Amino acid sequence: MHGCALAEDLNLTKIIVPHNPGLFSAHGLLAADFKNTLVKAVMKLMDEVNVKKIEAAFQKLEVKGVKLLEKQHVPKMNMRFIRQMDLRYFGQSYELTIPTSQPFTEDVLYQTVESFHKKHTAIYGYAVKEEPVELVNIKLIAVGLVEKPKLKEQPLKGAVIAKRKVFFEQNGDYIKTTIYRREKLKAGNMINGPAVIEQYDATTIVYPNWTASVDRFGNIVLSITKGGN
Amino acid sequence: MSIDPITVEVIKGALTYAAEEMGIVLRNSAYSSNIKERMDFSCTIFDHKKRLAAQAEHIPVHLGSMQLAVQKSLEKFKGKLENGDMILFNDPYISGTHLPDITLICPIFHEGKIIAYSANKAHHSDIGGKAPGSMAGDATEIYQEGIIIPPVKFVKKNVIDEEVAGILLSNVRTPEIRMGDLRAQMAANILGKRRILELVDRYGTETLHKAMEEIMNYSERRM
Repeated sequence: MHGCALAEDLNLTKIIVPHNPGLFSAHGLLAADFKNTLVKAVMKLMDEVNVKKIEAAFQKLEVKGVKLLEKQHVPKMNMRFIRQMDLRYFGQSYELTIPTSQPFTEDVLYQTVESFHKKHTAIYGYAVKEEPVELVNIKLIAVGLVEKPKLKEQPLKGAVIAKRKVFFEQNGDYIKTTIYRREKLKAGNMINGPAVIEQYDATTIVYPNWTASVDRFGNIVLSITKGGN
Repeated sequence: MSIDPITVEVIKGALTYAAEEMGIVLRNSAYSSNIKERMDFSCTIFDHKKRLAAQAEHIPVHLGSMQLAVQKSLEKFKGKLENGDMILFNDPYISGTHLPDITLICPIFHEGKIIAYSANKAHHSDIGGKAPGSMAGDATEIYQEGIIIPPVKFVKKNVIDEEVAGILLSNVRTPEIRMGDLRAQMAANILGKRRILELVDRYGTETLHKAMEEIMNYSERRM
């Protein structure tokens, strides 16, 4: 209903309306990967850590991660492991989580500290290269990839169900608008706004300066055509 | 130019949340427990006429004194402020609260003109003087309570002035922690500035100022 309005407010130029917007989170739940986050507290300055010990600690977490994923019936080929570090300037109490790679070496340590300075600048507007950086936790995210439900292409049929006047605030007036039935839209269909697309669990409003196209999975992709409001 | 009440309300929300967000940045990047845990700090947004336009729900005594402090402290910098400057002071005869409260003010420039200020005040855990914590109960004169800093350009072209910082740090007990907290105060103002400039991009300076004026009128009507 408010897709186009929100997009214009957030300076977005494209919106995807999935097949069942009202049930999208349920769909997402079925498609979501397993994720287990394993954490080990370290509390050492990055200048003083022994990279071999950290690598060994990461590997220990990985062994635990494999066991957890096996319990979740994830086959070996679908297991992925993401390494992270919670870092802060020595003296702070709030950490930033920085991705790191494996194996953990002196080079990787240096790059991870550099990424921390960069992220600190992005979030707080400054970095202090001379300040000691403290490693609070190492984190391993054990991911079990899940096969995603396949989406079917939609059948074609005349989707126009009515034409009526609809009030659009930005035009300050009623505009003659075509009303479509979502279920009857076909992949590749293009609709120029203004339009209303009705369906069982949602209503999609296409603003006058927006277009809606239906992709091969049945999603509606809304795009702004000019300027916005 | 008139402004509709909905736009005023939306800008009011954006300004208030900008001040709240400044507080989050200040707390999350600070070093001393007085700021990180006791949260003894306050963040504000001022209009171009140095009137309080928005404040976060922080410390009432800081917020109440902030407007007079901002106006008084900036008098001597009239026409001398540049983009990237920040003014620091703790002189209680200007700031209105005790020496450990350090105020940092950031003028926000747009097209060469000051269009607003982001400002915050934070209670530092030590500012020198006869006793750690700088709040000796038996002090008989202000000089026993710590260093007094008159309004000074602490940040120039977005960089902390090492010489000014040096004088301050040489007079306090925990200089590393002081500096961490001062950087956090700077970070809060930078965030405030970023949010104001985003609002200007979207609404323009004229609408922003009109909305700030309306926020003040609205407060007055409610009194």
